[in-house]
Amino acid sequence: MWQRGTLVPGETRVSDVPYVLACVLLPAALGSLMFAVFELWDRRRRAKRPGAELPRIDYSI
Amino acid sequence: MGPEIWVDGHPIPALGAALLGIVVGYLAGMFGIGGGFLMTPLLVALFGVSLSTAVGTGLCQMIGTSLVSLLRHRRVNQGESRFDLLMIPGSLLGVELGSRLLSKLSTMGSVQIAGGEVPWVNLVVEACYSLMLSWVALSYWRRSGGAVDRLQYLRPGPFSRVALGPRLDLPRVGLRAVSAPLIAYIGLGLGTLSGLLGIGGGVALNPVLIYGYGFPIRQAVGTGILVLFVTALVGTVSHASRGHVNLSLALVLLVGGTISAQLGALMSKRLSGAALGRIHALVIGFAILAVLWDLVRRVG
Repeated sequence: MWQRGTLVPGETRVSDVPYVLACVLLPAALGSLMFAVFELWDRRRRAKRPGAELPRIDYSI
Repeated sequence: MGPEIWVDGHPIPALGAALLGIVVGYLAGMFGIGGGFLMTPLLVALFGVSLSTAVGTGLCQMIGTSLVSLLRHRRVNQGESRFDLLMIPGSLLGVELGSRLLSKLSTMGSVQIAGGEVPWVNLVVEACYSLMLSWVALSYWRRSGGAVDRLQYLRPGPFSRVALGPRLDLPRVGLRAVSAPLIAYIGLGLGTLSGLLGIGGGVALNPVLIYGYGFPIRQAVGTGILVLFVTALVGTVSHASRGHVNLSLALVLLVGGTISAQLGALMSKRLSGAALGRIHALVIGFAILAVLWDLVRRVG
């Protein structure tokens, strides 16, 4: 993927590996953080009303 | 004027981008979708972002949203994991093919239509979007008529009867002797759509699982999330290495979107299935209009 000759003619390539890694790691870290925050909020919400069936947060995509 | 994000050499309002992320995230949470097929054309139509950047940035943002879904569904243990694992190799190849195809289209210049010039990449990709979104909108409009109740149970579809071997069982959904190569080809097609259009799995894969294989709707929703996450990762690397990802824009979209998705999911509990289906179809209709408006604007 990083070698010359695999580009489409006329295409340019950014060889900034740290930037590419940031594009992967930052959204993943932010997504994990968001998941943890919402799970904590959901548990506290359910703990306040034990026994009552509350609608679960739907993460389907 | 407010804070701005520089995308493709021109500024776009950060608040406007955040609002787009919030709206798309809310709708995604309400309808249980990824939102990529809304985000990409709206970035192009509303903010003048180039298609390559919109696709790459959309895939980058999708890493965050698909990871949230993956973590959630892993605990609930929904979906057929064998299907996911068989799709992954094909989808990895497909996403690279899609990225290269998008890059190739971007270098092909423009075509003259009715006195105006339209870049080839916009013509091809936005035409694909219009056709696909129209099909999705029609199917949601029809499903809201009450047919969704029948989708709660397994109803083996035509794809499950394809005899191309080797074959395997899918015990979680109750299907036997399903063609493994066909699943791999489906992964290839899905990956190509992701790399070319920046869409996630739900909009393309769910109809295949529900109507092609006959998956119960809950299993269909839980299947493909792992593939989506892997495809978003590989697609982002592929597009980022071509300079097609604007990380600032992706993070702004992601923050707003993940918060509002939770609110949208809570709102969906208050609406009937029929109402959700109709609203979903109307929202997609709006996205189609935005895509067509962008094409007409370029011609005009």
